[in-house]
Amino acid sequence: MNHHPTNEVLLKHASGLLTDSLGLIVACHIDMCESCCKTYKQYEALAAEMVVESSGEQVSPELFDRMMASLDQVREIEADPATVPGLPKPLWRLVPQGLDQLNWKGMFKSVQTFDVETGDPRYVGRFYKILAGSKLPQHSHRGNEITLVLKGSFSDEMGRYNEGDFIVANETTEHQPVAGMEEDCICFAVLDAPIRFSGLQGLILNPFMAK
Amino acid sequence: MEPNLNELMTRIANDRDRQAFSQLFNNIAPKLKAFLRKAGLSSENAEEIIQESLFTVWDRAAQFNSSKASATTWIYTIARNKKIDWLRKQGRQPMTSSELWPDLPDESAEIDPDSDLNLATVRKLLDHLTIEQRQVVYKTFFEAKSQSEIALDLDVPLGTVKSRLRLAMKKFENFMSVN
Repeated sequence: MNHHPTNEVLLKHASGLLTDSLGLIVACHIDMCESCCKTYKQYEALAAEMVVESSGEQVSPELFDRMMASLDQVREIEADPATVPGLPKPLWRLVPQGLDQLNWKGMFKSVQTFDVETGDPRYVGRFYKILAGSKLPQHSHRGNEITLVLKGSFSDEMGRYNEGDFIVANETTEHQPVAGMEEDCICFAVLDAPIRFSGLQGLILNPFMAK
Repeated sequence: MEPNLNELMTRIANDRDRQAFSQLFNNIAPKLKAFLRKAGLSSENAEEIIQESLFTVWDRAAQFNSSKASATTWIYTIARNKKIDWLRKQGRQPMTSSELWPDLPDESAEIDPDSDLNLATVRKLLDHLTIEQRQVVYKTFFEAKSQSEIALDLDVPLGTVKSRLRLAMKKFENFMSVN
């Protein structure tokens, strides 16, 4: 793995500021990348420290009384989503059928896609499958796209991307990806929804420029 | 003196100690409230989320593992996650906390159970920043402000905010790579 989110993105995520599809794909990378996971946990501690350092705001006395009175009541616990082998944990609820059962679509056998319903109006969540050794046509991007390699590998003019790599593309990116020969390459990507091509502001985008 | 949250958590987990819980509440609830209010929630909604969070702390105290995280971090992550799930129920966010912050693999980031190392390290980390850098970090990540809002707040040019944040992140990065 050579391509990671920046430290600023990890700290933003730890601070709870990436709450849409951007947070989802960052979480997927953290789930796959031991080194980012470790750094991320430090940033969680840092975010927590900022919270306890704050001067605080008075809570109403009723809150305390109410809680103490019902401390021992039995409360419902939400069930965790079922395990889906081969997928990072953050995708388990959205893609319970797993990668093998996806309803792939596409005009060409060499590259197929599956759009996942995330409920996020700003971004599309999309799986790509590129057949081993296949070449995509040269293309540029109309908006911003963050790609995470789930399986296999691909290369373009800028480099080679393996499992877990986190790749940022935007309007200035023009490339021709080629899947590795060893197996089909499967990626998960988050891209600006068509209605909002210039959706990401520089503020959010810049931290996403991969290391 | 500040109560030791790790100790309180241990008493809650082992003895279901209500006294420990009330001390923990008094210490942490106002901090959580400030955190939630900064995110734009009303006082009433913030308290609703604090209630859910601290009930979870009580209910799941046995799952707290001081060798994995400090009590402060553990409680913070519960409140952060409850906030997202609350916003999702209101139709204001698309993702659940289990998508954004699933339980992470256990092997990473073991910390020394006795020294609350994680927190100590992090304090040291914040102490490496200049006051100006610290201010920008706090406003960016705790108050969730944009760089132009921060420039207005502090009455400095946008470029100054950017460079302070960049320098602070550089310090964090260097620190992370040696630890």
